[in-house]
Amino acid sequence: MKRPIAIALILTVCLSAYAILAPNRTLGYGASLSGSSSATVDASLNLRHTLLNLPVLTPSLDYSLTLSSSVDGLHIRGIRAQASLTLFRTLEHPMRFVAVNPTAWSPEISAGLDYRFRQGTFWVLEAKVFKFEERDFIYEWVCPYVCFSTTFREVDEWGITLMRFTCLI
Amino acid sequence: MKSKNKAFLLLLLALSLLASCSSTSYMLDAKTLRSDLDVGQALTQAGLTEVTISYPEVYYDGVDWYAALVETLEKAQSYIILETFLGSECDQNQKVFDILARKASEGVKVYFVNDGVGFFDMTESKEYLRPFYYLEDVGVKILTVNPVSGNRLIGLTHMLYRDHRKMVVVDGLYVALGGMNLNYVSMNAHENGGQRDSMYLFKSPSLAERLMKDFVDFWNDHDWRLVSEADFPPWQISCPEASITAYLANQYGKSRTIIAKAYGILLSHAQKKVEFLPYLPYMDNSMVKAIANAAQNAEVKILVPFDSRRAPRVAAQYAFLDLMETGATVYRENANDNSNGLLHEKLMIVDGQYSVVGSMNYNFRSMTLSDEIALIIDSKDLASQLGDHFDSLLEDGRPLTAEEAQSYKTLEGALRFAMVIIGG
Repeated sequence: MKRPIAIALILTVCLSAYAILAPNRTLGYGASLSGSSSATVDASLNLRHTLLNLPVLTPSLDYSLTLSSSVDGLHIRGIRAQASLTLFRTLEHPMRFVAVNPTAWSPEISAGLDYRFRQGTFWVLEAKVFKFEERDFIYEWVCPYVCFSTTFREVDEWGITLMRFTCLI
Repeated sequence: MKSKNKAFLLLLLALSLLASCSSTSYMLDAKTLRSDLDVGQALTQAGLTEVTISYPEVYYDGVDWYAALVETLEKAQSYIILETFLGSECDQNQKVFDILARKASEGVKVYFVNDGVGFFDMTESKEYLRPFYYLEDVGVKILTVNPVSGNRLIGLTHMLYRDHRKMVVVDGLYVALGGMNLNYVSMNAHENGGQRDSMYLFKSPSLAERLMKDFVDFWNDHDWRLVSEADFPPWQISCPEASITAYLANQYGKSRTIIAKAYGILLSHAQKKVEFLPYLPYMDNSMVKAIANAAQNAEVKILVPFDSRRAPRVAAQYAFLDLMETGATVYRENANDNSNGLLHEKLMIVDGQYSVVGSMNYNFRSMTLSDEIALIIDSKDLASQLGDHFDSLLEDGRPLTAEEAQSYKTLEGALRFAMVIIGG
């Protein structure tokens, strides 16, 4: 128990310090809900770090801790780390109704590692087509993802992130 | 759950709260309260901007202010910035929205900023409010700060931060500040249930220019439709009326300290008297100590309005004893016909010289969690005029006794106070 507390303490202090020092809107936190082909419903807590605020090809890092519900019950499934690339942003799109303020449509692709406590490590690819951004908030819906074995030879599972909301600070 | 796990969760919760914790202690900080500087020097040292303004037109009635606002907006040739905390369309302010639409269609740049809680207005305005987003279709650019919606509930930290400013800027010349929102209770006559409040209308190219620089910064931080200072050209013709010195504290963004510093400086420099309408005195210890500092050298009079809504009234009453123990004389507004229209005004007059006007209450929320705007005006004439107004309000009040203040220290008061210290 001591080690998780120490890690949580260090992470909290580091993130708090970073949140104060970081440029506006480069650090975010949020939650998501997804379903997978392994018959699980997953809820995740997410952290997002935008590395460079570029008008196109914006790189960012996403981390998530996933709580999973399946016939086996509720358990912490694992952690996922992804590198993401926002392809472009445009204010001209037909989904203006998704938020009160004008949003930018900003599709994104992500790739990374999915570490599951019970099953090991997998590669993960995700396409975030329905991603919309306000300056301080990101809305994502219906994002398909695929997990591969580490050799890329077989698909382990696929799923859809039904919704993911990220608050940028 | 195992006790170790409980402890772990509690620790995480405590750390999260600590990480987002705010304080007003810097209003007593030696770096802020430098005794070797006069008030003006101390304010500019603390980050306030010195500007020059005309003698203001002062409005205490929503109907009068509405007429002046309509007249001012009609003059716009280049741009209009209208910012309000609670904004909604109703019969009482319809003309304002009509003018915004017409001006935008004529090519005037019109920006309307409102806070996201506007549609959750808990005042009587909730019976009358209508949305105004149709204005976007005619070219008015609307920004809702921290919208409140189910999707955004995850952003609890954002929900805490509100844009409480009320401001109008027209063409780089006209600036209005004060406590009135753009809703039913602010724009209505007192006798019809409107609040008692104040708005100040200035001519000031330097104040407008400073506000527009801040606006560009603020807008671009919140909206993808970027603007630049070139979109808001400064007033080019000389304005000889703008001869009064004032200091602007425009509090927004990551660092919300400047309003508290301004109060700290003014209260620490008070030598003769302080006349104070705090509106909601939900204070932390530093704010109480700042008043106590002033009361050591000056006569401090504080008038707390009577609020017919039970929750804020009981919470304010809980703070009465703390206020009295500073050495200030605390007046409680009587519950009478006048107090039916809530006294929403915020004002502080120091030594018959400096008048503090703007959107901020003297409460913890305004000092740390809200975007606020304050103007400290260095004018004996204005201080005298506002002092007379303060005296007229005092006629409807009575000094509190220690026994009465003590009687408000109840468990209900403590619980309500704990809620509003953050909630405002």
